[in-house]
Amino acid sequence: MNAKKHPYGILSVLLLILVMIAFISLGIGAVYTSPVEVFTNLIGKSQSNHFILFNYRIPRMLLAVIVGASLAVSGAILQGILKNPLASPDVIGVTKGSGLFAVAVLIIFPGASMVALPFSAFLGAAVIAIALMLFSYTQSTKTHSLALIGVALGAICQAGIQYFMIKFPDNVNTTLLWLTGSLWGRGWNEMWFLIPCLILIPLIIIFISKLDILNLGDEMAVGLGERIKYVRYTLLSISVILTGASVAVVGSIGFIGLISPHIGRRLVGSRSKFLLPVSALIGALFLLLADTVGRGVVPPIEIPSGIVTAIIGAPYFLYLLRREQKNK
Amino acid sequence: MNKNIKKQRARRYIIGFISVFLLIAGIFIHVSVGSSSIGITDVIKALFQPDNSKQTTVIQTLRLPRAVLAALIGASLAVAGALMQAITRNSLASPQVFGVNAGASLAIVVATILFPELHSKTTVYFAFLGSALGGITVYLFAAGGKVTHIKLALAGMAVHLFLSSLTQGVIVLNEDATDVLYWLVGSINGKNWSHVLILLPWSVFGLLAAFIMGRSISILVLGENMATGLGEKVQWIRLVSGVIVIILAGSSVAVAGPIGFIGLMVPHIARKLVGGDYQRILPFSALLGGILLIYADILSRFIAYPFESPVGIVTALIGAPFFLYLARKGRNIKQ
Amino acid sequence: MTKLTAEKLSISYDSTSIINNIDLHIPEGKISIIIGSNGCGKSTILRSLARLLKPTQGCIYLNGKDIHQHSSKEVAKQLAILPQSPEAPEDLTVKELCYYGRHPHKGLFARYSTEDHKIVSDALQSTKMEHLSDRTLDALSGGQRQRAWIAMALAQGTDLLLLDEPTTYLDLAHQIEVLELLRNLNKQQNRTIVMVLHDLNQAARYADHLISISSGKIYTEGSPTQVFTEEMIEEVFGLSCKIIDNPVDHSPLCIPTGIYKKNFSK
Repeated sequence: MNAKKHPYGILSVLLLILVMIAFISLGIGAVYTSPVEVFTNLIGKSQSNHFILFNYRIPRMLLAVIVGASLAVSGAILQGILKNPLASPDVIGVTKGSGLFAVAVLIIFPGASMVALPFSAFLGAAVIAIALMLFSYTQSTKTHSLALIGVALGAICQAGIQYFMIKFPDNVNTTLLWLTGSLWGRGWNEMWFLIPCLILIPLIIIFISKLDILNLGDEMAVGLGERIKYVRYTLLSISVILTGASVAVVGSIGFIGLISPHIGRRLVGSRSKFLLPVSALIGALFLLLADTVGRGVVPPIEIPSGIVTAIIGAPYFLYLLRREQKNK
Repeated sequence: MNKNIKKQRARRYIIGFISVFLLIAGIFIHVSVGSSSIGITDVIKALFQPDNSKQTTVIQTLRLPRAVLAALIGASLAVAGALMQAITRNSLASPQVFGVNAGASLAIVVATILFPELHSKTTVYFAFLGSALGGITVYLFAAGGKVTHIKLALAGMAVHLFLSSLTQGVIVLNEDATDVLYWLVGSINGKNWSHVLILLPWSVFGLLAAFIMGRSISILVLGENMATGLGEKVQWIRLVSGVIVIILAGSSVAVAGPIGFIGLMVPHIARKLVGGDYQRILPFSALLGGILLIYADILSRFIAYPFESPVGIVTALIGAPFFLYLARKGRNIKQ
Repeated sequence: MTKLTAEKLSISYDSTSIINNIDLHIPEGKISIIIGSNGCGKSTILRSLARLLKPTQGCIYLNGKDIHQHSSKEVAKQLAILPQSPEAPEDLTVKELCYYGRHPHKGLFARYSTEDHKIVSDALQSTKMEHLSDRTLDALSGGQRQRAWIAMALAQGTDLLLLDEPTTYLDLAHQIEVLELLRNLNKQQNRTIVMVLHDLNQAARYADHLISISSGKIYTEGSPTQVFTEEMIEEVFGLSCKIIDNPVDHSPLCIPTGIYKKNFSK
């Protein structure tokens, strides 16, 4: 486990890899642009693919990075609060809640303004979070109940989403595509939705020590003077906002929030000070890679990123399950 | 003491009678209700004095098979759920939580797209394969050692997510979306006798096998060590039960898609009504499951009137709050 | 010295009464041990003293003020609690755990000061864990792990140390290791220690002040020789016994002789 002794080293390496992949991804797509061309375009010495780069590829790359990081951080927070390595926004019903509200808006008000979509995604995520808090209130937010209730709420949302899809079959294809998660057609406009993420992610630094204290057990955390309810709710809210914003942009992409913290933990251990930034970088890399691969495998057809993350994510997840089983 | 036992037994008989009555009534209502109502007397006439009227044809070719299917599937899924909850000693276990449903439907979707000419009878085998894969994945995580409800639920949910996102992905990439959408939800709409015929042998076999296993299951629930001490071969019981679950759930999904929550809810209700002996719980779950699905299907004709909704949505709308209730009760659930 | 008292304390879960109107004064600078049979409420008393539980009736006073009126952080600076079975991520090192003990004293952005470093280092020394400070928790023996948690509690820098069954999952040698450590901390650093113990004889041996609980009420409290009587053990534990003088340090030693055949309904 030597890796755990050099967290700063790992952070730097990950950052470097991210930048490299970002650069490469700018070149991939229906129109291939060589790295040299990309570079000359960026520094302004050439205008050859300027339009594609600046209007499509660059915003898309940035979106992937920010959304990937947000989902990863959201997952890391949830796994910390719920003390369960399988917790993540997808599993706890937050993503589904976002999806339900967004789908409802998409279908019922097809001509709605740009703002309606992210707003409804936020609302959906928030509603689930509030429902979570309400339902677990009497049991002093026992972590077990919280997660189970999340799963149940997710199931309800899933039923709701399917109801919409069946009641309005004309929109099924767009709805499904949106639910699978994809960065297709996303550009600078969508960047506005991610402002909360850009604010919140740096702000998380404040909560890092509190997250670690929570890991010592509820009674110990109280014994050390933490107001655990307050901390948990605040962290939950942050996770919800990050997820809501992400879903608003890419639809419900899965596995990023589940897996990035795991990989992060294997690299740098469970101290939040390193785990959160490393997870963020891994999440960003993951989504960026998924999007790039989706674009580059069979151009000009784009495989939605959500499918790629599922294909990469699932086998790794199964491997994780086996490891957990062995550790017992 | 004896008075109590007698009272209990009497109570169980009463419950049994009421259930059978509900089931039969349910079938009648199911058959008579729909986009065109058919009076009860007409239904009785059609069943026992069939003539060639249009109504009789409708009843015999459309409505009746659907009712029978609902009863069969409800029974199969309920018993599958009861078996799973017994083997894993986890009251949240069910074909849906364990990814059995999702695995089966993924397999079917893939099969339908890859081999469109395939006869429905053969797709059942794909369903078995899929449900086996889904179930084994979660089982690997959930069996043995101390697995809390939450670990099971999360593991199951994660596997379910994986499988259904794959299913979704396959559907998205393939133009034939609307048709296959039903496979995501589970529905008995538009099924006829051919479907019943596909399901019947598997259901009957599975249900009978389950009932026979009743006593062994009861002993298994006492604990592995206890069961071995009483001479039961624990691994063998688990294996056979697993196979039965795959048969019951897989065949149901093959015919009607992944209808959820029946396997989760019914065993709990059954346990409350007839006590903890699986020799009673299993047959009673079958009865109760049939009733539940029949009435759910009746409901499904109305929630989006005049369109019919897939029954899977109704079971989800009833079942998810139930799941929520179970989750809150969580502390007191005995393993 | 920090004063901790309970007045007219009652605690109920749902409609069952666990603790019934007790008054308790924790003697400062001494080791107080709470004993009682299973389910009598001893853990509940300790946890309410540590403000982990809210009283249904009555009040806990920390330095004369209602403990629930203090902010949790304020309490954490006066009183350290080591609950039963604390959890921690496996890859945490002993030293990192200790630093968490400084948490109540730090604001949101505060970094660790020289004083913090000294306190942690002292805590590790007191618990003889310096040579293990870079080991992860899962690589320690049971006794070492408990010492690590105690080091963290020491790092909190409080007069008062409350421990809920600190020896229950340890084997005998480690149990004595922990108890001797606590006695030293009391004698050399003058810390007030309150703990719940399962083992009667250990309680009699290490306590300055013994509190025996029966059915949610204090049966009796006082020095071990006062409290540890055959009658008390019969009434509270349903056990017939003979009390003799421990040949090693002359504390009372209980030798069971049979089940007490009274209407013992617990």
